Amino acid sequence: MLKKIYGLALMLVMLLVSATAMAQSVTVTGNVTDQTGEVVIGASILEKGTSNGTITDFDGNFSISVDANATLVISYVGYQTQEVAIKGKKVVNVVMADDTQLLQEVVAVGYGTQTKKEITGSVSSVKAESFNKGVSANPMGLIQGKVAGLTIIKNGGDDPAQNSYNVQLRGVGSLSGAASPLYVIDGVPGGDLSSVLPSDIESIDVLKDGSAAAIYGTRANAGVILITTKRGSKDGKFHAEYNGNVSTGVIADAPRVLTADEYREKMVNGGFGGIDYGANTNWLKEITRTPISHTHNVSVSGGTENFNFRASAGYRGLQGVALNSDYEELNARFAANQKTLNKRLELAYDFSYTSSDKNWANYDNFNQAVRSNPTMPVTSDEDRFVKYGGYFESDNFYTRNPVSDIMQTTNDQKDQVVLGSVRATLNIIDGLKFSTFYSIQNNTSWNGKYQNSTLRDVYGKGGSASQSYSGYTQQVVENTLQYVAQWDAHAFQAMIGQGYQTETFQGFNAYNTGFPLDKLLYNNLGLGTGIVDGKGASAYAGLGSYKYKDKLASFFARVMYNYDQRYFLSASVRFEGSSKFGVKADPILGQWGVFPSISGSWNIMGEEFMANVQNLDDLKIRLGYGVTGNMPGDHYLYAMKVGAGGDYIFSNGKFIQPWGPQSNVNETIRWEEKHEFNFGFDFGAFGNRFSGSLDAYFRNTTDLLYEYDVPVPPYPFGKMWDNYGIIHNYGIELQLNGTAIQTKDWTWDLGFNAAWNRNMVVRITGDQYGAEGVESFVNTGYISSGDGETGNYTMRLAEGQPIGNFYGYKYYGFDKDGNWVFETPKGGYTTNPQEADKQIIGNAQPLLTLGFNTTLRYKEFDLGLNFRGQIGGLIFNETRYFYENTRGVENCLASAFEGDAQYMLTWKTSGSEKASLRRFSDFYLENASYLKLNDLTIGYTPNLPENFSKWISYIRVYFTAQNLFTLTGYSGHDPASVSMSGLTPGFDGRSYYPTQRSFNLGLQFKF
Amino acid sequence: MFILEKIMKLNKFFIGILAASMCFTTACTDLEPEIYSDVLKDDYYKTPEQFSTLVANAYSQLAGEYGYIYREGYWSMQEYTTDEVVIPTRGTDWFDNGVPQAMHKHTWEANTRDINNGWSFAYGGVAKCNTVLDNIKEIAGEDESQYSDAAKAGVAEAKTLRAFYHLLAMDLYGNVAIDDNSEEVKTNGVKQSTRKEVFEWIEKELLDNLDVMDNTVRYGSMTRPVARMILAKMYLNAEVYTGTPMWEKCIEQCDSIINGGYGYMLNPDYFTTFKKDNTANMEIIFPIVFDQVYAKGNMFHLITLHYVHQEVYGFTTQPWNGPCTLGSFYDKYDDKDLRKAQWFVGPIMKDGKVLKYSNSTLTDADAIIADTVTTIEDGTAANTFEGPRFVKFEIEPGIEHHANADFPIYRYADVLLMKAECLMRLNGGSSTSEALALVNEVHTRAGLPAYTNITLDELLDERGRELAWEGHRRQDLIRFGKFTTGMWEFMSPRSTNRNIFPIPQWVLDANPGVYKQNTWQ
Repeated sequence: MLKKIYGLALMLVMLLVSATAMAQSVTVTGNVTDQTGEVVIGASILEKGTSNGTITDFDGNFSISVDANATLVISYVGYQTQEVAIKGKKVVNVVMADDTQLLQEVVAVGYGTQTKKEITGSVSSVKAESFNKGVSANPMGLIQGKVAGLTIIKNGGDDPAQNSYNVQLRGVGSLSGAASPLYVIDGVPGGDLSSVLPSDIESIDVLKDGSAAAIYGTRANAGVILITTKRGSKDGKFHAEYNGNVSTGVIADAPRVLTADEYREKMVNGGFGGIDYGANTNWLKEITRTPISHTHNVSVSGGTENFNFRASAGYRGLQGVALNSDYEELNARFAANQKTLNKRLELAYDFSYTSSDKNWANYDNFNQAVRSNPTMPVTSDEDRFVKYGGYFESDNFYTRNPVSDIMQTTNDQKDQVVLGSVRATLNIIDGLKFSTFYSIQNNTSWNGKYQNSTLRDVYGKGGSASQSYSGYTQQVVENTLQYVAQWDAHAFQAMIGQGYQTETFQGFNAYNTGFPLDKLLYNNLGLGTGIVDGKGASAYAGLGSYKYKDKLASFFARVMYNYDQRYFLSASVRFEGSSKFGVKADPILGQWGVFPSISGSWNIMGEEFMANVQNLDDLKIRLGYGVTGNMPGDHYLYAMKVGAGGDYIFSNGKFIQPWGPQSNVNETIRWEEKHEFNFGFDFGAFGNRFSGSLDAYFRNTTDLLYEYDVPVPPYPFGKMWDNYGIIHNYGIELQLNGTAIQTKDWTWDLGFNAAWNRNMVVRITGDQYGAEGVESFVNTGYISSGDGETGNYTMRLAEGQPIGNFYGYKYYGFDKDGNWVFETPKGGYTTNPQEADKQIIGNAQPLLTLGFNTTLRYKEFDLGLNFRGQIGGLIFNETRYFYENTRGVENCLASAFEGDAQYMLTWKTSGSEKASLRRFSDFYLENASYLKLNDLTIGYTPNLPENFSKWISYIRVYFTAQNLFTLTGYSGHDPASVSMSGLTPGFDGRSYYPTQRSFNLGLQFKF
Repeated sequence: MFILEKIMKLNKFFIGILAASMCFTTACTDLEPEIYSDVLKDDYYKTPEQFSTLVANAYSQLAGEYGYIYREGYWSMQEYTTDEVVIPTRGTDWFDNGVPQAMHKHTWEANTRDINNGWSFAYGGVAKCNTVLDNIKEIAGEDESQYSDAAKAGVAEAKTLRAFYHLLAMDLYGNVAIDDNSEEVKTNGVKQSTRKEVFEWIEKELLDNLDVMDNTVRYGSMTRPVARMILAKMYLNAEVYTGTPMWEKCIEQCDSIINGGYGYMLNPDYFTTFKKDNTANMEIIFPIVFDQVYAKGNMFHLITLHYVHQEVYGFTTQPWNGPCTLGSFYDKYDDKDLRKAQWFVGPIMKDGKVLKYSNSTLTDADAIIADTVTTIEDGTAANTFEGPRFVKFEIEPGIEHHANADFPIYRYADVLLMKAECLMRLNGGSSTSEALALVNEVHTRAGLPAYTNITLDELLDERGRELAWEGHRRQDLIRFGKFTTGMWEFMSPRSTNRNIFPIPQWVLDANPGVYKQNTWQ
């Protein structure tokens, strides 16, 4: 009996053993291609659940020994991962499909690309189809409101000649003016944004946190924005595309001033000393027009795997709402990729040329249009105005006839940007690549300006002319060596690199007065007498030139590792030196600085325990730390320079100019540093139809460069550049995307982003220069009172406070005599406020900035809306400060007779008391919250019948309305155009080029 | 694809570029600065000419629109506060936040703009002199005994100028700080001294450097006679500064100037001293040398003349119609006094016709400048014409902002009047024959009959008539005890504490614990 049981047991055991032994290894071979038939080299083949894997070779073939019941997991960047059960087959061929899942999306990071799955830092990527629609001055306009924490505000309203934006990432982090991010265009660091047309851009990637941006070192404090342009197509066919539109617009924000009749009724007959000159002039109308603009671009591309190219040309002719305010631009671009040497060597060439012509408008004319008396005529036959060209001019010297200024001033500019680069990448052996890169960029700008001899501002000088030229050349060389390896579930990537860059700045200008004819404008500078007889202030005749050169050398390295695509780790360091620093900048490193970073992420969805979670497709958390830097703008700040300065002194019988140091010198000037921690969390659910990410960050910016007040004596000058200040920023950013509907006929996509940022000045002055016990602060935000009076400061930068605090009187009301009544800091009231009664009366920075966009598609029709806005924040309305009272006999705002402001008017109208009608207090600060419909697009993309599609493969007609409406309580100019960056955020100035509501009609077709 | 083949052949060209760029990399750590349009200190100060431009810095604080004659700074503090200058608010112009009126009516505060500027002016000058001294040390070495004559003279010039700037500060603010560029000051900052201590330090600095300086006249430079003039001014006002009068010492310095063989003299014609080509004139002892091209800043014609004057003189910019003198001051001039011509009153004529002026309140009014000022508050229509205008400096037709006439900080006529005053004070306030002779040199030059007797009050008036708008009036009024007594229109008597200005609030804030505020109210 026992023998039988033993035997059975043995058999069972042997069965078990043989069962396992029977599950033998099988050698499976196969080939991996993509949907176009191209082989995929280096695709990963993994036996699921094990660490047994391989990669495909140069022909896309693989061979792997696996269990016969195994499942193969085939994956590669840019393609959807596939799983194929062997089921006994010996040959498995796989066709990989383009990956559209969110975390497989490829994103440009510094010196390479990563998938969203692999990213450990905070990177936001915006693809071409998500860009804002309509006419955009430069690429930054395409992503306004799309990236949480990136605030983009256009400079100069909708002036077409002003094509720059003020871009700020994650709060104010610099004291020395507006620090803009580093723009990298197709690998060229510091590329000029005006060399790229929006229609040539494939994607814009924003490296938001320190760990992502640290690879760029001393220019990356304000973030890094990578712009990738479109490349040629590889399908062997020739493609061409045309995109054009025509647009017109109207002014979207104009202050409401008194009309001529209202002026007569209120200012003249109301006893405020207004003068009726008899005319009826709408000044704003006199200086504006209905603009018509059009843009066109054409692109062709074609090629194969071994050689493909893309060439494009574009034209833009934009008119602004102001008279004589125009912009014309021609742009040509060529990009090619080539593979040779048996596909081991890849070459990429890029070349672009941009030429533009502008007429600048004088923004102060819009201020003059507000303050000018509406009963003044534009022109006049009176004798006393003949010398001013027949234009009527006010008695008041600070009021100028704006039409006279437009008609009698010429301000032309021509710019050119040439950008070329070459990159060669050599695959040395499997996994090891060497890449070398060279680029050159040259910008030239020429400006000519002329003011007629009959313009009152320059009357008596005989006209005033100037010409100036500036040139900039940048050369960059970068060499990198990259190694990629994969074994089992470990993937490893390392890169080391070296870079060197030079920038040369040059300029020349000459200006003169005393011309015999206005007709020559600025074209014959030598003809003027000003420069010969030295008459007049030197502001009117003279010449000058300059040349500077900067050098930047760097060495950098990066390591990226992941285990099983679940645990990712990345570390980088950049070692960079600049000629802008002296050898005393750092006691050990001299001119060099070190910028390290480390970050990691955990792909939670890849874990076993998440395998059964329904509806959740992607879940990842990231943590990163990185150090970036910022350099001063001045080229030789640390050097002991001398210069000629000041008036000539009579010495030993002749005039000599004194020479000496012109400023305090500081040999220890060094870069600013920003240390940042970032925690992030990404998710995707419901088949990745709902996805998003949340980031929280803390930034500590130290060694801030600023011109600090220093005591005189012992210093010879009252200010000195030094690295001293410290600012903290912290915040949270949220980005959500969703596809609500996706069917054959309907698609509805939504996107939302919001950012909350707090900042604090930790140190700005202190015992280093001042003395202990004093509250450390700097007054900023100086406004002149205008009209020859002295001004005052409106903001205060203080330790322990955020940037953007307004500092002034706290408004309470008006008393029965029309006096201002202010609250004192101790809680009392006063009608005669003193300096000590000033206090912090609000902060300009908003609580939240948001963006929202949605696209709806039904069959051939689409509707897209992009919103952006902010909640909270304060704006100082300078126009109300100057013109919401009857102080001058010029015009005023209609609101001077409404609301609380009307009680001011019972004031006696004698000079000294009239002056105090203008007092800076929170009466002139308004809530800056707004929601703006940035653009609304309706498009129609008809399905083309068979015979058409031989010629035209795609056609689309669209209508876009830009800046259609803005919901806001702010009564001044467009709150979205008021800068919220820099040291004086929230200033809505009087001299402001209006924003425009535009309507575009466009056509796009592809062959 | 023929074109494509062509392009593919170009790849050799591109590989060439890449090879070149790799060679570039060998220079890959060169960070030497390349400087093209800036000048480093080590490149300069190599020739004597270049060296003299270094010393010139010590003078530059006085020059220009914002220097000694800055109407919102030093000059305002010495002149707007007196009966010599007033700025009526003309319409909406010149009210300037009430500052000129506060200065004129003696209602200034510790944060009034002009008072703030006066301090930065004086100590900015001190800082410039100290920088010059530091730079000389760097170039010529630490050991002063080894210096060349040029360097020694440069050091003496800079130290004397430094003492002069301290004098200006002490005259205005009384208890100021001494910045002698010593190690002590460089490490620990300055300390406040009493007015007397500052006086003594200035006196010592001047006396110590007197013998090193050139004993000649070099127009525009600080030489020995100029230093003596500064000493004379110090001693003249010694009773105000220290409580102890030093009239004899003042007389001693004046005698050194008069009898020193320098060639100083009174011009036979009063106005020669103020002509546009008055450079190197021997009546001027210490000038600020102006020039419409090289050394801009003399804008007296611009600030005082009426708008309509542009048509008379053909200026390229319209004048600003600002400061003028008071009726009471104008009345001090006898009609036969040739100096009365330094004031413009009456109709503004061109081609024999009175010019007309229109603005928002007047239409074609006759442009007639009135000889009094009736109101300094805001503008009645007539206000635009009120007040005699200052035309002492030659008015140059066709110029713009800047005139060529040099401004005399100190001149010889003052020396004569100073000596006369000291003699009289030593004589109990009555005139002596020597004092009379001195005053009469000045008085008769003005076309008036000689004095037979003169009182101190009359001497004060004579000083006013002679030296109007030259920056001496406040000092003179204080010395005669009449600055705060409210003796002219628009002024009311104030506390004599206002003979000293408050130390500006910004100075107290920037240097906590260093200064104790004056008793100034």
